[in-house]
Amino acid sequence: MRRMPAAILVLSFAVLLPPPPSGADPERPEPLPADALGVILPAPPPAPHQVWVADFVLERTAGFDANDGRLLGMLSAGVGTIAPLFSQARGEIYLPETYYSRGSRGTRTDVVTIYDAATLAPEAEVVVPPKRADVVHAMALSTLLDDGRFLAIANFTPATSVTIVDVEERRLVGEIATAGCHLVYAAGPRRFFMICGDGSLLQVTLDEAGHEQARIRTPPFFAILEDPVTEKAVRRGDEWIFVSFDGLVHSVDVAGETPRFAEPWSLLDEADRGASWRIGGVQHLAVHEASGRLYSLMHRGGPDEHKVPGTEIWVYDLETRRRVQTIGIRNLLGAFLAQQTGTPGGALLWLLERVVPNPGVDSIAVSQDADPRLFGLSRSAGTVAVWDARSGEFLRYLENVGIAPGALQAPWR
Amino acid sequence: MARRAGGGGRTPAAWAVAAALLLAAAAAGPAAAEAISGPRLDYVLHCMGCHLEDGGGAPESVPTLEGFGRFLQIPDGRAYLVRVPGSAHAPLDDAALAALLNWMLVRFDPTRARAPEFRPYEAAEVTRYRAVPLADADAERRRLLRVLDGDPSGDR
Amino acid sequence: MSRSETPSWERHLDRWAEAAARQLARGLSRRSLLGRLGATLAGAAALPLLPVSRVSAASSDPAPAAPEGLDGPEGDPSSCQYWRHCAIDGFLCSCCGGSHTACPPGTVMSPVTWIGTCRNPADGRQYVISYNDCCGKHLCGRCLCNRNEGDRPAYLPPKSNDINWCASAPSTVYHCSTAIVLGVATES
Ligand code: HEC
Repeated sequence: MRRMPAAILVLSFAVLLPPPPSGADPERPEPLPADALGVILPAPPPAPHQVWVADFVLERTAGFDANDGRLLGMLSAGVGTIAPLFSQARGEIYLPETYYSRGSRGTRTDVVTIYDAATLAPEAEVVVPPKRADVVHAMALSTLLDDGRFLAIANFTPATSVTIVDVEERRLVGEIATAGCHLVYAAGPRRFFMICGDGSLLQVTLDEAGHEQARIRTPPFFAILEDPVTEKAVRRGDEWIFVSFDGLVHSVDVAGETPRFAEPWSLLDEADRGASWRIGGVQHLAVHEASGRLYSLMHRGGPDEHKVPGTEIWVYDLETRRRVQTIGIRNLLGAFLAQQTGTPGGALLWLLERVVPNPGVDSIAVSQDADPRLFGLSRSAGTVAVWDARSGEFLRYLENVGIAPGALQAPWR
Repeated sequence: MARRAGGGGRTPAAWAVAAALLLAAAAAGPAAAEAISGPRLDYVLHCMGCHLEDGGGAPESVPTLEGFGRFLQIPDGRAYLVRVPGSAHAPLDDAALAALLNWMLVRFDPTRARAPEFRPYEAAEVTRYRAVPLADADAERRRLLRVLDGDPSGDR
Repeated sequence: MSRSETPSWERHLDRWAEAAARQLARGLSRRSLLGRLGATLAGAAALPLLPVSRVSAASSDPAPAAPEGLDGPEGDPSSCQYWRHCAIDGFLCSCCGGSHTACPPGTVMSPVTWIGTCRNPADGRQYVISYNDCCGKHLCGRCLCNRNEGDRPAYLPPKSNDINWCASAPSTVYHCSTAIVLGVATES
């Protein structure tokens, strides 16, 4: 229905066009057909092999088809971090955005813009308190609760709180005080949790109107001073998987009334530790829910190198907690330079991949279908590598994904 | 950049002055950087980022510490100064946090901290308060201020 | 603060040129064709290949190059390796019209920030460093630097360099970061 006007436009142009000239020259082929003016393509329907890459310099997030490398379309946003929330059920994309009336100054307005996933056009917006947290790379700055009705946004002024938006009714519900706790993780249709500054979780349950109904503060579940978890947790069903700087896996089960913490286990054995392997990159975890494969970006380095790009992707079976596979990372900077010379493949690529220092991978994500793709982004090369997530076979590069690409998302099932 | 002068009531001009002072201080010639230690070092490392050198805080979000010893007049207020996230989540043990708060009281509310009835924080007391997290710091603060102003609606 | 995604082409090119030179000298000198190709590429790469603003310095460099970025008695404040930048995450104001202790013209320094310590290799002292962000103009885009000594995730705000510390400035638009010495951290 929504695309009716475009269709009418196309038709009316077709009617207005002059008829094709007769008396064709036998020597020359028929002239090309005239193009229709004013055509706007819809977005391709959601598919699992679409990967979205946010970019805070271009102030946008763009979708790419990992099967053929095409850019599919993008969402333009305001200043600060950009990581949209995707609702397959409603065919909508929600993006918390910040705007200043004079671009970089003036009056600040924060909105949640509701985009139609079929057209990528903004459909509506909800104005929210101008407090949205801006944390580079963080994926937990906003979350869509499980039945897709309420959206929670983490605020930072530097006091922390949470804004709740009803995306079904497209209205602001209100703000919830969350002293000392930050970032938001969905934990049910009416529930989310946050991480607190003492290593505990704050779980908040909402009522049907989206207001706070109950809250639970857990005991600390990791050693906040000695070995904190990163905030880049990934979710598999009712389980949120956090990993600490030193590679300890802390799982949080949110199925029950109270969050339950599994016994931590390590991504690293003695040999790995001896060889200084550790987690690396800024979005260092991905999970394929159906197969229970956990992908972890790793590199060799010292303490305080938790954001240094990964050089390998280690694959774990979450049932056995064993490493089952290691995926090497090709040289994405080589791919970028080869592409810039206009010869993206062939001998030059082969050479560049070997000669240019390998910048590694900063962010990973995995699609959730039965034939999953693993994505790895090098921010400095502006390039995404695509692997078969099961075999680890390298499939292709997506080049020029942005100027300052950040968050990687493979949101569609 | 019109901005409501709430909270600390600081205008952009005042911000600019503050920034300029900070810069001037930073650029002020060859005076050697001073040694910072003890509770003051803890304040600088863990609190000053938000509360600033003079305890002035930020308009509309971080309250000034000037006169914050008034909360000590009531038991909940005494607990509140430990339970606010900045204090409670500081990477300090209870004894160090007690010493830090005592130092801050002397520094930012010298009149009350030097009064005969002033009772410094002790580690055991900090342990007790710290164990009870605050849900809504701002609401608690407003409630306590109402109590201190003699408004019965502040009483639970 | 904060931003570390911007591609650091210059860093890669510097490191690349260096590494390539070494690698070429080591392994490829016999194969003069490849050597020439490498040299050509090095030249080409320094030119307009690059689609973006030229961000220099080290983003997420594995380790500061010995001797910890100290070139002279004071070191080079516009270098990511400079000792004061041991936990900075953002564009260095010294490359943006300001200095390592001052904001560029027309920006506003956020008074609210996070504070850490860095060891000065010249005198072995631990200095207290305030990483105030400069705000109110768009991303500077030069000298991106991301080092993370003592950096903690955003749920520990006073220790997090991922946070945009312009959060309580009149405009929260992030421009660049400074590294201001507040004093010498001393055990009492
Ligand atoms: C990230 C910013 C931040 C840091 C760092 C911080 N605070 Fe605070 N502080 C606040 C905010 C915001 C408030 C207002 C209450 C609230 O909403 O949390 C506050 C309030 C307080 C108060 C109550 C003052 C009043 O008048 O209500 C005390 C006491 C305090 N902080 C102590 C500390 C101490 C001690 C430290 C360091 C160990 C510290 N804070 C670090 C942000 C911070």
